[in-house]
Amino acid sequence: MLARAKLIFGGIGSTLVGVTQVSGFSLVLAARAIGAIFHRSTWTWRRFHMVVRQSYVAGIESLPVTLVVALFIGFLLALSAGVELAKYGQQAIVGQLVAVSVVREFGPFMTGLILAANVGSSMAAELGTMKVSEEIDALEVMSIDPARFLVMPRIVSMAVMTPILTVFSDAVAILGGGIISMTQLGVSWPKYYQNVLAGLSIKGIYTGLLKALVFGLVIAIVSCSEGLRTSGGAVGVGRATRRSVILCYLLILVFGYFGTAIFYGKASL
Amino acid sequence: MSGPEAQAQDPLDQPTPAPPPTMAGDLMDQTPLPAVAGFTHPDYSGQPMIHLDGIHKAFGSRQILRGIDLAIYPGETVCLIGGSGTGKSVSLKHIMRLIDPDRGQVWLDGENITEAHGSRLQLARTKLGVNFQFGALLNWMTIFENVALPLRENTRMKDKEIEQRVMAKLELLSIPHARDLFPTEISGGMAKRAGLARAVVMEESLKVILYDEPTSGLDPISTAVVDEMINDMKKRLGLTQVIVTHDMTSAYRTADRIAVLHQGRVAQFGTPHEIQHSKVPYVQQFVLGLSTSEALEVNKKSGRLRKSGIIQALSKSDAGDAGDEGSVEAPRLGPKDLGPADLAEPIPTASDGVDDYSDLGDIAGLEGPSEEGETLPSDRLPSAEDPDAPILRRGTERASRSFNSRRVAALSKEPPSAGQSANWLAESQDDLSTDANRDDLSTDANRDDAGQPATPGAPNAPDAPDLQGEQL
Repeated sequence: MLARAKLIFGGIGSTLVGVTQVSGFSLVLAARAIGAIFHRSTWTWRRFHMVVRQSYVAGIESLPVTLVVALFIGFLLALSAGVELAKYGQQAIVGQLVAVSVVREFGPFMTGLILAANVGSSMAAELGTMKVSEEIDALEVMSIDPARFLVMPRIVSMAVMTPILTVFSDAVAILGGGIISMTQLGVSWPKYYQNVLAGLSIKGIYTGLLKALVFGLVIAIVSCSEGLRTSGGAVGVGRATRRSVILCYLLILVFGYFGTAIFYGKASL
Repeated sequence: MSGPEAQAQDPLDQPTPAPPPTMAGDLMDQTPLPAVAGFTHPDYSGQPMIHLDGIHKAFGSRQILRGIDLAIYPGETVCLIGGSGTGKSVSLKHIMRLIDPDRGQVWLDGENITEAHGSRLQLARTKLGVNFQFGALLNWMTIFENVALPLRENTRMKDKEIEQRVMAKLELLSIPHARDLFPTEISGGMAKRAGLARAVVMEESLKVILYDEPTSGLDPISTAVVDEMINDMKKRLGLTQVIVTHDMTSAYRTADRIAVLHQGRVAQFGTPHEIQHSKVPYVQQFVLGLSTSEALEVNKKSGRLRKSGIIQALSKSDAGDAGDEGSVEAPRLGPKDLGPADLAEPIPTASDGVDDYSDLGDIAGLEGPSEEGETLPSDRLPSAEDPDAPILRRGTERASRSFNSRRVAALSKEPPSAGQSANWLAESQDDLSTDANRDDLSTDANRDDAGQPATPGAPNAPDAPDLQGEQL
């Protein structure tokens, strides 16, 4: 009995220690990287070039898949909601419903998930490979802070590109909803457009973009942290990549919920 | 004759003439380097450049280092050798302060870096250049950008100055043509050289170069070229160098002293000569490259076998206590039998002070664990002023010269003449006589068409000693 209790509590204890270690490492890394953003010596043109390069990877290279996913999310939302609303003759308000749900929730959420899978995994794998091939050690020995040199450009690029991609995906999802409204629900484009405008609000837009910003930061920090903590060769890189995607998904859901709760819950701002 | 006079007349101190063209040179596209400006002797008079003081380190339940003590002096080249998992690379990472010790201290240039953080640690690290095993070059940068990176990140040098400095280093290492290539586009040997160029580019502050297995995965020719490169870096820059390697040939070529690590401790720390003539059982086994069964066989032939295994058997038998309980007497065999006890040169005894046996029991598991690693006593450190100083640089240089002669001869398009062969083989005998333990010489250059030795008195002649030990 005592041995069993020891096993259970020992397991809980070691898990808590592990979680605390990982969280602490990630937070310190984030603090160092974000601190470097405001350091004047950081911003050489080469560093700026690195930020642009990362932004290209995170933004331009992820744009096609994001837009395709956004289009189909718009289709799905409009169709499933419109069919139900049509039973009550209320299919005209499908534009409002699509606009509210996409701008507030689905836009940043699906953009975050796509970037976590597409960019976050690539960041974790890239830094993990650098770690196991001693490139990170080499940087440290050269007195080059990996947080400033590698993590900071990734955080900046994700913080900039996730909201931008979210705007594009919002627009395409609403467009997709419009196509379904016209072709399947018999709602004219002007009517749909009017309802979309009625559904949009400043608060909805900025909370959506704020969520996107937070998701971008979470993806960059978690992926870089997992990459820099990699050990164990190729297997370790695979493990770090998988863990970073899972953690990003989990944290996107958690932060997404709390974001909505903070802005639209009972004790909302 | 002593001091500068002796040094002036010492042929080893003269600039090395450019070697004749060899296949190695052709293959590696290595142009002869300019004459050496000055040879820096290790300075054993002052404080060590690197001092690992009782370093203990465990990863989880695995105890890797159990009290490493090493003092490495300015201008010295020290090789860390030992089997896999004995703590060589971990020791190196302690010097870089990439790992914190559980116990003990790391001193670099008189500063305790164990507790250094932030800018103090960064400053200490500027004294270090590290040549990682596979170069550790950043793949998205060209070779030029990789080498320029420390200058761009840590100095305010202008682009023009950086370019001049980087190109000088690339030329020093014979890879200026690789400046615009990416690391994935160059060979392993070139990547190592590019890594070394990056390691030495911060020349103002640089005092130490650390090499992590610089010859692993390289063919013998590339290995020799890398070894020459290491020796050349020492001659040119006069830096302290620490090399982690498994390759005994490389260690003999490059080291002033060799530290053999075993089970997280320093089993022996001495000159190449001392290591070759070691009486420490693990060191003997490692140096000769024997498997455990071979080592047991050797020990059986050498006279005694104890019940509890090769390490204990070798340690005690070589310490000279033949009458131990559990020993089994075996007939002693002739000089051609493979065995450390049958080395051609007389082995110094413990009373000669060559080996400190205080730690032997620890390694052998005879006397319980010791917390102290073994280092060469400071009063036994050779002095640069003393022309009779044993072995240190002289032994290394001779061994290196011998290896180089053999390499040149072997790689020349024309086979060496009988006289040349006799010369370098005789030299080999002088340097590597520890290996006189096999029967015949199979090198064609030393035999005539009928298979007889080409030169009277040359190896394999009936009256000549056996020279197979050069395989070491």
